[in-house]
Amino acid sequence: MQIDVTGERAPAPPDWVPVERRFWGMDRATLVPAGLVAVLVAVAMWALPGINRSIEVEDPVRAGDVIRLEGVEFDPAAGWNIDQGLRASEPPVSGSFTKIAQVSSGAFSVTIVSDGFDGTPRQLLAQLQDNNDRLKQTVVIDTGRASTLTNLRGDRGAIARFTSAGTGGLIAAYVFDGTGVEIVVMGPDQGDDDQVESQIATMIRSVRPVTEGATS
Amino acid sequence: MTGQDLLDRRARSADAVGWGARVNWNQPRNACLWVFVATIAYGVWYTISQVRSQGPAYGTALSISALIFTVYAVLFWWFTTRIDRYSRQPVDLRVAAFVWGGFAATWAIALQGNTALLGLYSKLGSQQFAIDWGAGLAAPFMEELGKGSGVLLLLFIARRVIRTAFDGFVIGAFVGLGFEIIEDILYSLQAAPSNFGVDPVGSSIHIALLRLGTGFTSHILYSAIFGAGVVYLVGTVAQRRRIGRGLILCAIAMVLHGVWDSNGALAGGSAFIFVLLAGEIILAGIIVVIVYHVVVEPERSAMRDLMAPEAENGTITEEELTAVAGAWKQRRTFRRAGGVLDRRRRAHRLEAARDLADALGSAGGEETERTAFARAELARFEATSSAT
Repeated sequence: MQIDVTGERAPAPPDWVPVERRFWGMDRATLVPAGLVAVLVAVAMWALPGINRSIEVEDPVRAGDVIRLEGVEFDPAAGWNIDQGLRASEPPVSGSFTKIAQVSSGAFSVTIVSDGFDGTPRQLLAQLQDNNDRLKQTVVIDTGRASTLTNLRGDRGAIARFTSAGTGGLIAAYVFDGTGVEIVVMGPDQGDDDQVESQIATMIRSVRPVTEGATS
Repeated sequence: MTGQDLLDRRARSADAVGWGARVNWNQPRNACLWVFVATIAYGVWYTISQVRSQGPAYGTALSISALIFTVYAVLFWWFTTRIDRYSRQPVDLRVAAFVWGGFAATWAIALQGNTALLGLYSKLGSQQFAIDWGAGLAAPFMEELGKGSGVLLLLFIARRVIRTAFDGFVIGAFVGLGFEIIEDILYSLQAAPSNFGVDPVGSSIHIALLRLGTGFTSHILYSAIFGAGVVYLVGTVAQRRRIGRGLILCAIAMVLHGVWDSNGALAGGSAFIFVLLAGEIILAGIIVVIVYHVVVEPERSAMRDLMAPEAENGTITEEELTAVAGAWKQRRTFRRAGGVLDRRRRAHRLEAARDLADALGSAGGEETERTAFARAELARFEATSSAT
């Protein structure tokens, strides 16, 4: 092998980074844009979600509040916290209510989902179990022992217990003229709080379809 | 100007706009490349985990929507490649832009950031405010910055290739295309469990069709404008830094996006939403055409410099030079000028002249076997006395 010692400068290979342009081995010119994008990724992935998690939602239900979802509404118990969902008295400008609402009190939570469904409340419970099976979830709804429940308007629904890994609760379903409603109640199993149980029962029975021109 | 002046100018222009330059992906000292690869790796990992969890349950819905959007992607890939008529972006750079848009901008930046911002708007404002204005105040920031950051990284990875605002425009469009396709597939997949999962395929197709109808005026268009803005903001050897113009273009993309995502609230839930949608599509179309004409000028000028010696030596005519370095109107005028019978030959002449420009640009203006062959190809379609 021959080494050129004439001192003539060979042309630089493509993308060669001269030593004086390096910082810790990296091309200085690329550090600022790379840093900016890394900061953006860090803000999106960690900073904003962290700030969001650190802020608690405090929106207690006042007596007389009605929470409305797409096509249905219910009367949440006063004092419970609205984690998700809109009051019927405060509709969004777009007029589109959400399909999910959740209220909680201590370790108890009630989640209500509304969406299109043609069938009976028991068929809706069976469909929900099918979905769990499809997603290979460990949730098991005891559809075989589902009971009938009636809301304050006289519409019939179905209610059953469900179990999951280390937890459990109640799941209820109504179907109002093409709109299905899924209600999931979670809370401590050995709970012995009659007042909370009564509030939950009242909330489940208050679920009803939104009638045309209804105002709350 | 002498023939030698024209040749010198040709070489300078080809070098300035990075005509024919290739991307070197082996740049271990380039911090942008590491951030680019790491963020995409996270996005690919996230996609695989999503497909593994949702795929078995909604596999058919996922497959059908993926198929629909693949056809859509091919169509827009072709369209975006067609508008890149001058110093074309190499295919590996276009693929890299698409992959960043599809996997990094979506999962690592937009999804996480949007979700957190919507939560914050809901908690610090109200749930009502978040429903009405949340998307319009989250997506323009997280999505446009996420996609634009891909253009920024590629600008520093492919410094010899991305030289003009038009390059940023084209690369931005490919980032937007990747984002659009993967986001649409996600939306379709997310729609599968709606209506309590009774008809996952029908629900997915419904969303897919809805997204297809409005796709073009969204991510591809916004990112193209934003991408041009990024090049103006940073500046290159061929494009001096113009911060004001760059900021305006980035802001236009974000405002268009924000307004589009706030249509429900702006229309107040009324049928006026259709008027708004139509108006915004037309406005966005007008804006992107104006931006295109502004950013494409240096590329056309480079094309003229590249081919001017060919007009000088008689390989092409002045009329052909004007057409090949001009807009579609000039090309159409040229094709029609010889009447119906000569139209096809004239179209071939233009395409062959473009090939010669590509060969000359890739060779840095030097004569090579390829340029000689391209010139011979051009001569095959020279006008004969019976077809002028």
